[in-house]
Amino acid sequence: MIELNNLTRSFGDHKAVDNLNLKVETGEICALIGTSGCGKSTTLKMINRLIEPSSGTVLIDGEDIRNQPPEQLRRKIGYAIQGVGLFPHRSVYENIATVPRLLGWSSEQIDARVHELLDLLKMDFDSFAHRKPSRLSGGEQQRIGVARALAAKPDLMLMDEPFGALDPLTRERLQLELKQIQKLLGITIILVTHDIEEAIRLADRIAVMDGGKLLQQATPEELLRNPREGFVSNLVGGEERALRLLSLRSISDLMEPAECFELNAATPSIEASATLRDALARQIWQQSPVLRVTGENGDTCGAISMERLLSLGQRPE
Amino acid sequence: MKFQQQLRNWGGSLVILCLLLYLTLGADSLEPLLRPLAPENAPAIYARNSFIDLVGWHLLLVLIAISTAAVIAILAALFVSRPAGADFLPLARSLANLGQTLPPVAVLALAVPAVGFGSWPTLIALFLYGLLPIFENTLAGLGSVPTTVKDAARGLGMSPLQRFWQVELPLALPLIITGIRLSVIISIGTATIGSTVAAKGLGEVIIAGILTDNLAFVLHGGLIVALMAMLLDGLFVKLERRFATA
Amino acid sequence: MLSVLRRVDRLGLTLSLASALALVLLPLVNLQPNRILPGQGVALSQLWQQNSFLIFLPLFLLALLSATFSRWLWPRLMISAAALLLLIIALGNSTTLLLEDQPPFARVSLGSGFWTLLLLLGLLMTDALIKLKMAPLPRLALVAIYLGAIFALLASGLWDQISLMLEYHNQERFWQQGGRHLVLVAGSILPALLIGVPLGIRCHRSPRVRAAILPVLSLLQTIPSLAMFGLLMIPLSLLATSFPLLSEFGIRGIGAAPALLALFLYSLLPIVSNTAAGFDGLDPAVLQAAKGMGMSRRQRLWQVELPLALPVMLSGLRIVLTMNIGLVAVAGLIGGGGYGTYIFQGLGQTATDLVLLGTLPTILLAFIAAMAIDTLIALTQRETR
Repeated sequence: MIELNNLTRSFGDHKAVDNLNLKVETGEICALIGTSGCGKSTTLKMINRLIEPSSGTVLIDGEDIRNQPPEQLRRKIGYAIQGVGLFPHRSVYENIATVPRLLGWSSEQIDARVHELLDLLKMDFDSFAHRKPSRLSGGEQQRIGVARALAAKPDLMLMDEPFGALDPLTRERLQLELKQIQKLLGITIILVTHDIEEAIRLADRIAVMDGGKLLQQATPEELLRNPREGFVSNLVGGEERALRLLSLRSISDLMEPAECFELNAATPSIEASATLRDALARQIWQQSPVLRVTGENGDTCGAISMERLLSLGQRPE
Repeated sequence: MKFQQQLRNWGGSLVILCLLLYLTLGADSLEPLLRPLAPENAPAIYARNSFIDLVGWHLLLVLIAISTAAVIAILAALFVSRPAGADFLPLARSLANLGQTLPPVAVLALAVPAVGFGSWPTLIALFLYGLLPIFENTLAGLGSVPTTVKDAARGLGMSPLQRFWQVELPLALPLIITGIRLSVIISIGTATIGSTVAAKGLGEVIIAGILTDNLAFVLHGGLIVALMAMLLDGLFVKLERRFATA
Repeated sequence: MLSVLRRVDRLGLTLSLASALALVLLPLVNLQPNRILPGQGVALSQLWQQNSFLIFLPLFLLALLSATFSRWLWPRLMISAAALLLLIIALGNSTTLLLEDQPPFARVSLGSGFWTLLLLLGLLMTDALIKLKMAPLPRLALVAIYLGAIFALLASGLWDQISLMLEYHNQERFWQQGGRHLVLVAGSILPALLIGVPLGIRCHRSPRVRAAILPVLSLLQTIPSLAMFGLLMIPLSLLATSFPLLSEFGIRGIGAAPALLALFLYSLLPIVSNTAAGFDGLDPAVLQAAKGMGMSRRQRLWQVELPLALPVMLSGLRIVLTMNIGLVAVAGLIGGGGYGTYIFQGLGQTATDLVLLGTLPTILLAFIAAMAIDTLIALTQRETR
């Protein structure tokens, strides 16, 4: 568990972060969101002591981070940033091996770990490991950036707008992969972003910041249903909130038995793992109020109707 | 295929090297070629010192001066680019810029009253003048390391020393080598002029030629110095390419 | 105590300590028995009986203190500038005293202490001047006024007993040599500009032209100056012996002709490559817009491309100007004339003052040229920004 207690950081007279309190449970993804200059990056950098707080404490699993030297601390925490910051003079392999080498792992251990990570990110070892970063696409570079951050098996990873510079398609694919990897490894991630879609898609908890202050922290659903007046409700949007709410749940949460509807061969179908937002889109697109829901093996396992969707996306009272 | 590529890479340098070796080692066999350029009753081949010695002295002067200059210039650039040396940065930067407008011959001439004639004033002038391009290029090289890369290195937990050796220095290296190359080329030229203050080197052949109206000396000495500069320039350019990251 | 230490300007402290040491340890002036023989250092204690030294010393101390502790840049600049002027006056005043009971050929020459102080005070002033971040024109004016003041002091005859000025009065052709120096510089750069700029534009437009020309020019650039002069002497003197008419026009193996030709060749690379780089760096959107507004090729070149590429082209000119001012001095060795003549004569006669009489104006010319072009670059950049 990560606890930020009364954390404040001033630059001259300006308070970049002002008395911030936040708890992130182990195994959660927490998104810090806000406009640029709201103090979210400063907050993140205080967790691995790239910036020292003016006052307040950061506890990781109950231990004050000031009890260990900054470099030791940083080696235990994964760190991925916008623009990636891969070392241009080192190959993909050496980039990933950076922290394990700093920690003095044996070359067999490092070799095994690099193989493992490239596998995890679905990148072929032989064709990627010995390339220089300049010969990778933007998305590939960002994947290697994540692999480098994960190399020393950290329990916590800090990410500063990691997907900011990517095109929308690549960004979405990487977000999905990240979510899968995080679930698989069970690590904690604190992520800085200015993109509410990204926060909703990835995070278990969203903390909204403005002017150095924490305005609201909540689960995505809670935030969409009951945003605080003002900045937060502007951020989560007006009527698009309905669609964003739908995107939080998968079809399997809300589907009904197939027998309740008269399905025929012409009824369009959708996979159970897709989101409710995808289901609504397909219903509109195919002009069909009911969809057949299929499982992983392609068998029909239920159905989803537009009525059910309409009730869930309703404006909260 | 591979051989052809190697030949294209190294062919030029190889031809220059062969010419250079012939002009220094085979000097005597050049006599009939150079004869028409020498005045009657005067030797066509410079004989006061052997050419191999002169080349050796010339290169030794450059080597000593530039290697010392490189060490000091790189350390100085490193110092002013750290927070502790920040007070010195503005002046150092414009000094390096303004200092390069100082003519090398002026530095050489000013060194004579300070230390007398011989190889010392030349060595001092080469050293002083060699500092500036290396210093300026090292600063530029360290400054060219992207902020994201430096941030990442810090965030991954590298110590200041590790960041310098493993990240900043390798990335600045191509520009540092450019600086050293410039210094070496200028030094070869200045060391040639250094013969006017009695430094040992190839300049004495050219100057002897000018003083006695012996064009054979001028051509012979001039060719060797020019080829030497070209050869070193080419080798340093290759070195820069090898360390370039892209 | 600690807070005072933290406010110390480390650069100012270093330079101040060095200046104080130089003043105490190194002789400001030497007493020479004649023009050639080395002199004996004059101790500081012999000098400060002079009234003007009594004004200089406190001002000097104030300059060092303000450089170390004060963040007020104007006082720092003014006090060190005044200190240097007073040093010049004080030294001038002290000569009569020092030469009182000396034989007639004895001279007072400037010692290592003076040169070191000149350098260190110059550094202090430069540092203050940089940190003031003045606009380019006023800064140039300030430097010009200060140099003017120093020249006025020298012209007033204050230093006429000091050996450097004695040497100056010996050389009747000093200003003609200066003129010749500049003529050689201009005579090589103007043709290089006329040929180099169009060539640079061609290089920008055609990669093939660039690949053919730039390597040749940079190869020329690596040839050491003395070797270049020498190698050019050969064809020129062969020409002159085969066609005696040519030598009437000054085309000879020795003298100005090989120097001019060599300087011209050296000038080409910076001009061509900076012109090409200036044009390469133009914003394509601006060029598209100019085309889209219906400007002809010629109009685009003169009204858009050249003005925008000018700063980069000027920095090429700066390289060439300062380089050639120094190279003309080398040409003194092959009888090219200019201040190099004094340098090499002085070295030959081991007459330090003659060497200085050649070196100092060369350095000054290079500095002034560099500062003038820097001002021009700053002005053109400010306009286009």
